[in-house]
This record gives sequence, C-alpha cells and structure tokens, in this order.
Amino acid sequence: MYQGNEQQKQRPIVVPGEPVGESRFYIPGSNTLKISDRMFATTVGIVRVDGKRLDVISLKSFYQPKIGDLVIGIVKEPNIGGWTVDINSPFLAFLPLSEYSEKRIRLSRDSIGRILEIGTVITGVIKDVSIFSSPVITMKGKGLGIVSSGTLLNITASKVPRIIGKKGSMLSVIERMTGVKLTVGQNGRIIVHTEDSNIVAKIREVIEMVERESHIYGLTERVEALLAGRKL
Amino acid sequence: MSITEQRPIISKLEKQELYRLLAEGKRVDGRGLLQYRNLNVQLNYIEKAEGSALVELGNTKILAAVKVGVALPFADTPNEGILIVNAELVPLASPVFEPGPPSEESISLARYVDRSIRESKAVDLSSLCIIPGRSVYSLYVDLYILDYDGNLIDASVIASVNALGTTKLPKYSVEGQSIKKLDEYFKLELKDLPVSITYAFFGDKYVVDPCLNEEYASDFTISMTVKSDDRFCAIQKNGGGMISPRGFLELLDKSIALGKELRSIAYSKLSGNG
Repeated sequence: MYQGNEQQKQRPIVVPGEPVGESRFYIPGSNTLKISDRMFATTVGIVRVDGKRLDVISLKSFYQPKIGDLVIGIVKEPNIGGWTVDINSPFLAFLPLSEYSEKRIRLSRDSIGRILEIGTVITGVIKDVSIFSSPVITMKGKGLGIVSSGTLLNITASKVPRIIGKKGSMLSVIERMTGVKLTVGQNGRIIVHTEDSNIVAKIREVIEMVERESHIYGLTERVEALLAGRKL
Repeated sequence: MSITEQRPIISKLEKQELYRLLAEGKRVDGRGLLQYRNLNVQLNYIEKAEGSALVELGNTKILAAVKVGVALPFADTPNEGILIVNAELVPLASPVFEPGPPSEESISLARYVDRSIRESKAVDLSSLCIIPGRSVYSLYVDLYILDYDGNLIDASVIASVNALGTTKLPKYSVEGQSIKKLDEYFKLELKDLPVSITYAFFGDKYVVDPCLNEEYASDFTISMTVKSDDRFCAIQKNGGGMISPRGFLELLDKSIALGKELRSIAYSKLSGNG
C-alpha cells in the first residue's frame, strides 16, 4: 500500500525518468534507478512504499519467473525428454518428462507428443530458474496437472496480486459472489472452473475493471458492487 | 529472405470456448457474429505529413501517413502518377512482430491495401501527371501498425483511404521541360471509397471483424473489398480451408450490406474535412 496520502483517491502514476523519492529515506526497489541521492522510475507505473523499500509497480508487464510460483502454461511443442511450455513470459519454460507426473509413464518412441498435445493447458510450479537455461516447471504436486475443462482468461502479470487481494480477499469475494472456483497463476493466466458463458462474461468484466482501475482506492468494494449489481 | 512465421499457439481451452460460444451465436467479447468493433478515426494526425489518419478498430491501432514527392514515371505508364503502399509491423504492437526485414505478413498486407486502392480507382493516377514521361506525383502510403488485436486488413484499408482523403499536393508550374514548386496546394480527389470486410471461418460458421484470438483459432479468413457502387475490387483468402460456391455468393451479398454500413462510419469525417 502506498502510505503517502490516504486521503488521495488515486495513486499517482509515474513515467520513466520521473523522480520518485530520495535515497536518504528509501531503499530503491524494483523498476527504480538510483542516481546519486535521488531515485527515478524506469517504467510507467504506480509507486508503492513498503517500510523503507520503494517500488514502482508497472501498469503492464510480462511475467518474470520465480521459483515456487504457481503458473498456468500452454504446451507449445514436444521436445526431447519433455515439452516446451509457454508461460506468458519472455522465456519459454521446459517441462521435463521426469516432472510430468508421480506415476511412471511408458514412453514408446513417438508418444511424447500424445501425452501432452500442443495447446494443452497445464498448471505447474516453477522449479528452477537460471540465467543459463529456460525455467523448469513441475507438474508434480497437489492440484497440479492438465486442465481439460473450464475457461482461460488473461490479465497483465503485474495485476495478479490485485486480483488475489490482501490474503486472498479479492479472490474470495469473486468466488463467493459468482459461486465458481478460480485458479490464478502468477503469470497472468486465470482458469475459471465453469463453462457458463454468463458467469465468465461477468468475471471478464471484473478483470477489465482491475486492469483499468487498480490504482484507485477501494477496488474490492467496487468489484463487489459490480458483481452484486446484476444478479446471476 | 523471409520465412513464414508460425502462428502463435492458442490454448485448447480458449478454442473450446470460442466454438462453444459460436454454437450459441455469441462471441467472446459479446459482439454479434456480424458486428464490427468500435471504430474511431482521427484525421490529420501528423502535421508534417501531406495526409494522415489514425484508426482504432477495437484495440487494433493503425497510423497511416502519405508522403508526396515528384518522380520519374514508370516506363509503361508515362502518364500516371505513382502509388506505393508500405506496411510496417512495429515490434511494439505485438510480441509476434519481430524487427528486421519486412515479413511475409506485412508484404501481403501492403499488397492487399495497394490492390484495394488501385483497383477501386479511388485515386485517379492519370490526374497526378505533371509532364508526361518526365515528372509525376508519387504517393507513398506508409502504414504503421501500433497495436495488433486482429483484423489488420480492414483497419489498414480504412486508415489508408482516410489518409489519402486528407492529402494535399503541392502545385508545380511547368516551364518547358522543367518544373517549379509553388507555394500553393490542392486536395487529392478520391473517386471511390473502398472498404474491406474480413470474415474468419470456424467450420461452417463465420464471424466478421475477428479479434486476435478469433484470428488465431480460425480455419481461415477471407477479406473482400467493396467499392461504392457495390462492385468488388479485391478478394483474398488467408489460410487453408474451403467454402462452398453457394456460401461464397452468400458472403458477397453480406459484404455489400456490411460495406455500406461500414463506409458510412469509416469515412464520415472525410466529407467534413476541408
């Protein structure tokens, strides 16, 4: 939370090169640049101060993989010993055969493309990230695996914390008011576990609202009003 | 040499949703099957260019600008001006656009727009001759794709025609075999207002003005350019797939009706532009 001025209805948007603070008071965080004792934004975004740390949260971003993140991937192509997976990031992830499942799989020569077909949606966890090779993901674990039904929605990756909310508050509001479970990947993909087009359309509206207005205070209340406004 | 780019992969879940909604006669963004997205046109967007227009079709954004010069005519058309269309797929518009030499997609887009303008005779090229065989006006239409959310073709045709409609040409005085630029300008007359209609096909169903996901998930797309007199001057099909002769004729009728509607919206600002 930006603790500057609580009275302010809207968090200030900064542009690259704009001074955001002095390094005497803050520790430079992400998307900031320290020059002598001043700090500047390096991207278009909103300023967030957490204790002494000052970050600029970009308004739009691609996903930067981090170990332990739950991601929703799309199988791009079968490869030797695994699959390349699109995780909505500048980097393509790799899913090795050994991380596919707890169960043993029998692999004849040509069946790797049939175990996971191109375009299949999977949920996985980032297992390893290094600067030398692609991020590795694993499908081993509770709740991970192939997603064969539901609807896939997208949100810009920097807005994922807003759709989850503080301790999952926003997510629980959406789930409670629509009666549908959601799986939110850190990489900006969301699976709505329903195929009812009316509910999906409503959740799309919510996502659009979060993308558009997340820098304005009282987002959860507005989302609640949006969902309650028209009864399902 | 350019290589044919791979189409980005669309997930099975998104594809399933598209087909599920189509079966109900709906679309992902809530439009009707034969409904265009919001169209917004801004004329004279660039001051320094002789003519320009910014077109937003939903989230697709295209800037068209016209540069006017004087050049030697082509040997086979000594009495005609030169029209060249070039499309630039700027990497900032989409992750699938890469910097470097023009891709197949950008050449195909530029050629289609060129064909739509040239074959509809929207610009009377013979009126752009200054000295036959020696000096003619050259019009360079440059298209910059700034945001890509499907249906570049329709937006590009609208942007180019609007940009040409705002173009002002400098006057030249002829003295023997030489020409001299005067400080006067005249407006380029458009003889026709062509519009392109693009359909995306999913099996036996089709939608008009596909958004990005629809474009990726579709079997193929067909674009048709209709002139003001309801004649067609360009048709192009992208991707593999078939359409029955009866279905094709039906499509022609639909295009004429849709073309009328789109033309009145797309070029409404041109008539008021002095």
